[in-house]
Amino acid sequence: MAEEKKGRHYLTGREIKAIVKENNKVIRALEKKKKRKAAESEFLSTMKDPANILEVDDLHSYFFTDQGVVKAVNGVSFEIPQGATVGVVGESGCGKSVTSMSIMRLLQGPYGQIVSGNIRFKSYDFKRDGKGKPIPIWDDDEEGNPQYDEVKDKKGNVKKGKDGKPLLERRQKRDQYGTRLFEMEEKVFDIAEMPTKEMHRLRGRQIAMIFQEPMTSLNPVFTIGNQLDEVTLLHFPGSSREDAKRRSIEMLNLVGIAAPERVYRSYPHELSGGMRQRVMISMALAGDPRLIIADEPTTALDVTIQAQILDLLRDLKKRINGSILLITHDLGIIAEMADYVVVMYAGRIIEKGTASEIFHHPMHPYTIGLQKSKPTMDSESDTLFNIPGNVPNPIDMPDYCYFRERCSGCVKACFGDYPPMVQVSPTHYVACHLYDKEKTE
Amino acid sequence: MMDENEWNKTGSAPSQEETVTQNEAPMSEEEASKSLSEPAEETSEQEAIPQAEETPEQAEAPKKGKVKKPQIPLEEMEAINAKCIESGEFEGFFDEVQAEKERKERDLAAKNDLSAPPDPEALLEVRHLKMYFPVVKSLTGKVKQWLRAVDDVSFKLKEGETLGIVGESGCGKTTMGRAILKLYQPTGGQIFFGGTDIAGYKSSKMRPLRTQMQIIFQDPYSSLPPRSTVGGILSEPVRVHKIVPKDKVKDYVLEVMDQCGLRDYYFERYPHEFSGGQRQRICIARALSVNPKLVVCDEPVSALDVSIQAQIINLLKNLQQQRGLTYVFISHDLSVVKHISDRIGVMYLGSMVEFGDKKAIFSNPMHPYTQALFSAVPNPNPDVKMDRIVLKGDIPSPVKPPMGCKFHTRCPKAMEICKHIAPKYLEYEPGHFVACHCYPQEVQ
Repeated sequence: MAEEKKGRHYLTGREIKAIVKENNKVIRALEKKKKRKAAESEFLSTMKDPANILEVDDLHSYFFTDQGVVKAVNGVSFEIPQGATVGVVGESGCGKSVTSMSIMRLLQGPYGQIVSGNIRFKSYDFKRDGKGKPIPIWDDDEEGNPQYDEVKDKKGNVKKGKDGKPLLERRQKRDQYGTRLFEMEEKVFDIAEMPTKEMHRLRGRQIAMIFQEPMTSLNPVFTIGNQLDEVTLLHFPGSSREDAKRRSIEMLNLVGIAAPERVYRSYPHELSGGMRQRVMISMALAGDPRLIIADEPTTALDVTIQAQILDLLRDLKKRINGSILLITHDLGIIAEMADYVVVMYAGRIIEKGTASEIFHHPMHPYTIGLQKSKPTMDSESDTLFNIPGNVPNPIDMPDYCYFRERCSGCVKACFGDYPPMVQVSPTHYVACHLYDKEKTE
Repeated sequence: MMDENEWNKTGSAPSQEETVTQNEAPMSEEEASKSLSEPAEETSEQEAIPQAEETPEQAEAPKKGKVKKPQIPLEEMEAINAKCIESGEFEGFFDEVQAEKERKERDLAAKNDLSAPPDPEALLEVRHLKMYFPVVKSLTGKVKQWLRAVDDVSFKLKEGETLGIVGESGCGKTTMGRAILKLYQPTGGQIFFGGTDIAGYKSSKMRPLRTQMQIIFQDPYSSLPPRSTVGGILSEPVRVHKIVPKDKVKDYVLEVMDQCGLRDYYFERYPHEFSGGQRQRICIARALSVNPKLVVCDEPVSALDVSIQAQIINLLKNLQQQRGLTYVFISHDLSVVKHISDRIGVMYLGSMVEFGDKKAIFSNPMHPYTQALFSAVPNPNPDVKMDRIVLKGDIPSPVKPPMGCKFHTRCPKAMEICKHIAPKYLEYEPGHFVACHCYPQEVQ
């Protein structure tokens, strides 16, 4: 059959059937694992380095298609330190978006699955009492006596109990946006092992995501306010609609929207592209996240608006002391924003290091080519350097270096196995035989 | 932080009407429609122009009676305006009257240039090109509001040169490219292609000219027919325009494919089998298969990856050298435009704000918008921290562009005069045109 297949570029029905049968077996097992009920201890873990907020360790995310298994993410490992911006750069189809979707556990099931690997995330979680309820922080007076407030209804009138006396509730501490505070503790979750239901406590709360196309990711039939309030109502127990509105408007203010009340009432189609992206960012901020994943946040925007949004992201990162995972194909944006850079090619990391290492001493031929092929404002040369050929077919990846056919610096070792990650400096890693050889000699 | 105007600048803001005109005397609907119907007059010789019958007298008549708030005759308003301009204080300035006056002046300039002979050196000469789209129509079918996608654009392009057009989305660069090819019927102005004015040509008359002017579209995924093979796509224009005898079509197409870097066995394949870069090569081959002189490239590389972008740009450059092609290269990516162009035009809200040689524009950008665009491009060097000029807000709606200089709402250098009077488009260095109040408004 293999001989038969050589001459044609399609699969027969029988071949497809066999593939589907195989795939279904794997998919069923993985789906079962996603839906299982698990005690918290099953997906608790510890960080390798306590300074990190996220550690991705040998992640494999596959798509089980009828044509074969697409290894979209094939053994990816990287870390995000607390307060740093990590940029992931690569061409379309190199698996950078799938990596971010895996971290959010948003892969399109049942065909997209995390097959193996660990994603450890240091998260804040509610301290819970015996019944599983979060413990509030009470706002007592100096002597420790509890304070009480009258409960008000929607119209602002004082609610009264059956006996005619006004209802009282114990005063709880609130943050600067007026949201109730609870006692928190730090926990490390292994996201890859978590059942889907448990992910709800992280998604939008601890990890937030800014999507590429703000028009398709905002719901056209609900107002901005409605969609923003949802975050607060869902993730901050005990918050009323007024609390949510106050917090939403504060968030809109934070991202530099001048008339937040008007935007709060309007529908997504009434806003321009830049404003929509600002709303998306404010929605991500509303959950007070520790990690923001920005998946090509400026690709759909104009250069001048892009500059505004990048400025905003940089400013916000300082203010909320969070980390950003920035995914883009634009090397210029990465250079401006990122502290650490991860270069991906065909589902694997080929080079990672600090921004200055990657931009001043790129080592992998692909990174070098990528930088040379980008026309810059200062370059004077007439013809651009170009990397010949295309990205290989994602099904049936070869077992040698994926970049071999397009590489100009091939050596003998390239015809052997896939090159291992070589450490060239404390923070700089590269997967290329050129540097592997130096080490062995 | 944004100022209050941020909201106003968003194109589809619900209460735009009340906020945009807050500083100005409100313009009545009739007056607006009147001023909008004006430009149609001088182009009344051409076909397919709405309400060409309207004469200046008819348009003038309703104005005096129906202006609601300022109950002052037009002459008096003009006198006040003249006084304001002289003194430099714009209290009580009538913006609409000034805008109307400027519009008339521009129309007059267009009329005067009508009989001027085209530049014999230029392959393409565009004069006072206008492309308006009707937005709001009354019950009787009369157009109440126009979207001025391209408003009074003029430039010359020599054979073998590349003109790069840059601007934000919605600034009218694509519309201009299409209007040059007569894919839209322009509302006004002249387009000289090889010395003849083609602006008034009907589509049947344009057909033989199609072999000389072609277009490459932005999205290679949607601009190829999915049901025909690459060979079919490429040989159709050759057969239709009878470029070569019937029996030599295939050999000819294979030759074009080879030039564009496509293998010969792709002839039998379908577009869906190719990646984005290969599809864009097919689009280029399709445009070149009829031996055109002028190719309009409408963002040909923005849908492609960086490494593929470089391949396509190099291909376009090689083909230009081989065949002596003339390009109009439309893009929002300044670094790409810089790489490929000889001349660069910067557009904002339908008009050209700066035009000149690549060297002149890049070494000495004069218009604040050009300066801001240049500084907004991310620099792929982490150590260089640029002093960036970040523009406030979004591009305003072209249906109701701001009064005076269109850019004044976002301009970091805006002065009082910019809010009321449109700057003239003048030549400051040989071949370097700028429209900005920062520079003297009289030609030396």
